[in-house]
Amino acid sequence: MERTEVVVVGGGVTGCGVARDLAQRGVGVILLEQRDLAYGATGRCHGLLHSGVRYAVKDPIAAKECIDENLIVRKIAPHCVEPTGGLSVELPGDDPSYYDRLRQGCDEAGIECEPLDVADALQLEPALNPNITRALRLPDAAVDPFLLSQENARAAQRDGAHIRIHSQVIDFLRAGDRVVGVRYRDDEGEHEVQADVTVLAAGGWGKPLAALAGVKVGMTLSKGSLVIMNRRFCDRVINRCRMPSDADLIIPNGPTSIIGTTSITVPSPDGLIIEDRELDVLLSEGIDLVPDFSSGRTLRAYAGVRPLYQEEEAAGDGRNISRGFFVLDHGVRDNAPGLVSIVGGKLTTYRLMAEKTADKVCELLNVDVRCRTAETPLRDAKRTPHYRRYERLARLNETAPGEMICECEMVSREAIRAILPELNGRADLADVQHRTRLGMGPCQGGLCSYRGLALMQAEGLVKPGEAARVLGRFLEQRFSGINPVLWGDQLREEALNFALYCTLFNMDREDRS
Amino acid sequence: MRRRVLIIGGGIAGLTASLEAAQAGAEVTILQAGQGAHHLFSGCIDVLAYPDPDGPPAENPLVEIVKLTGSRPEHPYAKVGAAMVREALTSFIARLDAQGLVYHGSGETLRRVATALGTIRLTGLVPDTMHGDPAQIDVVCNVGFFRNFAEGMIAAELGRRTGRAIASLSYGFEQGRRDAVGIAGQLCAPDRCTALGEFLKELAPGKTVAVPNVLDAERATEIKRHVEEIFGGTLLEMPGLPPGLAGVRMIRALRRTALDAGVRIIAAARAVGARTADGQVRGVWVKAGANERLEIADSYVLAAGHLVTGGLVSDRYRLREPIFNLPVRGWDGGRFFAEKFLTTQGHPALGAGVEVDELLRPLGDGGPLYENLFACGDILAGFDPYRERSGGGVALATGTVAGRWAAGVSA
Repeated sequence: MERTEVVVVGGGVTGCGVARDLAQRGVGVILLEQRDLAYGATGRCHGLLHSGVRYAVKDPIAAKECIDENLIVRKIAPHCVEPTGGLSVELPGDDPSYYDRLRQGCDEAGIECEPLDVADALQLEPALNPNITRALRLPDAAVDPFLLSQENARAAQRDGAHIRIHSQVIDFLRAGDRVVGVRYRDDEGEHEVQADVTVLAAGGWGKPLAALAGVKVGMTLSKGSLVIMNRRFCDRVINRCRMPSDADLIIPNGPTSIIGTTSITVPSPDGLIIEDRELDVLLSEGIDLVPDFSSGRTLRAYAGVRPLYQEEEAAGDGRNISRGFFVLDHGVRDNAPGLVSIVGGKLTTYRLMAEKTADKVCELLNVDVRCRTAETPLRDAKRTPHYRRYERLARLNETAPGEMICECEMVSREAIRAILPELNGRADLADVQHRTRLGMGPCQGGLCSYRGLALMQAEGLVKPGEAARVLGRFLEQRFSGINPVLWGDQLREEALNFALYCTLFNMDREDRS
Repeated sequence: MRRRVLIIGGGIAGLTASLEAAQAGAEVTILQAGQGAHHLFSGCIDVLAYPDPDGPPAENPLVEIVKLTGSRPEHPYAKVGAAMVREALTSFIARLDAQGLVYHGSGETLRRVATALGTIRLTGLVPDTMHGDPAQIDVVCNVGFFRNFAEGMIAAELGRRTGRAIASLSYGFEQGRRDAVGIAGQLCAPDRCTALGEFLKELAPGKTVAVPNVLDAERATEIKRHVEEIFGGTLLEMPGLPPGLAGVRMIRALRRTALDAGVRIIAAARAVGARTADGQVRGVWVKAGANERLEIADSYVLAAGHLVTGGLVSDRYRLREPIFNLPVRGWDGGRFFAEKFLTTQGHPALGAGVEVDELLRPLGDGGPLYENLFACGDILAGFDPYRERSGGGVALATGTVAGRWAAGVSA
């Protein structure tokens, strides 16, 4: 049986961060992820690197953590961050006292927050609602959560960690009360790994997993839904200057914009449904911030769950629960030594969460090495220019014509080839998408998925007779995010896609079992 | 005075209507908003492959069309009748033949065409460049490094389906464009075309070789023959991701036929509204560049296509016909698409359209809305061209009928 010092369960940004931290301290790590890296809450968030302003009034500890980590992530992973800056804008009707409380909260948390004339704010962001009454400039930024997770995983691998995607933990190994490893399942079957410490960094799946180990972890799952629009309406993160509520954030993300979010308590992180009333709120509040919002094309909608830690599960929408995080030593807490959970928190503070978790693990392992993740860049990357598509275009200009596989996101053949070894021999276009942004633009993979498939086939990842199945799986997956917002030009696009993939390629009639 | 017919849409349905109307003596104008959609599709004429969502493919499409008359009277084929379908297919073949473009088939059998995914599609009429049994394909050969054509993958997939080993080759040009139109242009150069023939003579002599859908829009037949003579085998085009040249070729040939028949075609002219009075269409507002003007005719044919070409448009809650604001039927107001993308049952919005009477006049609640407005092609209600693979046949048959009624002669 395989043995290691630590098994990390969960390949979100936290799990990847824990693996990176432990590996850097010289600890042996195997990370197991049920799907792909960033499959859960990480890949379904806003892509906002919080300045902390969102928590400045209600949750000062979280606000302070955010601004500190915001500055660290910019330093260690500049290639994952687009330093857009942010604005907080007040609209007529918003509680005017919030503005002052926000400034005070920012001052106390150490968040640089500069009042801006309305005219100046409108000059910076001409698409903003011209009726805004006040504005503040903030150090928010956009972050690519997929890339940030992958880069942590890659850094961990360079330090000797093993990263296994599509590997789902199905049980824990026990020696009396002690948790001594896990059993997991992948395409080839079931396997066991023995470990001195098992870390649950599984977000919303942490609760059922802990239960499987006989441990109760109180958690409220708060679903947040978001919509991606095809245009970059603003170059900065736009916050609504009011108590955090639904749909008060618009974040530029490459050529698109993301608006979010909602907050609805759900029983499970699986099978999330985006309700029409959530779309109503997202679209109408979006128009309040940016009047031209409705002229954009809704590309897709998605939802993730915030796994909010709570000893006593409460009713309500979960907005009143701290966004802080907690490291649980189940040996002390539940008489299940060898098991540690990291719960709560948010993407922006992932590194700090990983540090505290690794500190606890090292304490249990009697390893005395200090954390260095705050001062070590994830890779020796130069600061990338604002709006990274330009960089990709510049790179493509140097290669042969016809090498562009995905036009919307300017993904080259080489960029795809480079990540194919990370797929563990498994043909999955979604995994390619998460690593290259293939198919994330307006056509949503309608045209480039064929070319991506061909590249995987050429590298021997697709068995003969399997191509239609691999393609079909991806088409369904992309469609599940498109269907909730399918109208207007996107409906037109899907009519064409159906004509291509079904009427022309006959994929509706292909055996996909 | 000659009867004036104004046709909205320059696709298969609109061009066919224009030819029929011109033949009946009318003075015909076509408004074309964009470049159409034929470069997006296969270049085949789909007649009817899957009449029933859950049933097997049609053995004889025309026999299935006869059955529709009883079982699905709302289907456009039921409204025009199987004899008209047969007549329209025959005329289409003859008209294209006169332009030097050969189509095979009669609508009485389904034809099999291998695609650029290595799958096999079923259709009615096939262009000569695609006419050949997929089971005979020995080699899949890319030309010009066309990136929408993965020869290795196609060979593996098709081989799996036809049960034979298929080789893959790639013939490239050192320089020049690598898009479909650019590659087509390069192949028109005699030395390049000859070089492709020599390449195949060396590596695939006498074989059946499948290539991407990039033979030129005008000179495909000539190029095919030339290459085949050199290597002694058969060259077959495979339909794939757009743009495909076979569809462009077909629509250009139809357009030439229409121009020869005296039809006036106005390009880049979008119909944006209509003037109506007393149960008649009195004019169509046309936007060309910055100008908007009223085009007036005696009768009008709506052949604007479906969602893809803007014949129907949608917002979050509605599906609309934007020019005449005709009622759109066949969609229940719920989701536009089903839960799964790859479904044999079709998607609600794709089966929706404009309901018409036997004369193909759009219907309101109490009968035809306008005496002088006729609709044809994909925009019609009562069928799903995408699911059934019936768009081409319906366009030809209903285009014929609409064109004749619009010209004032009985169909």
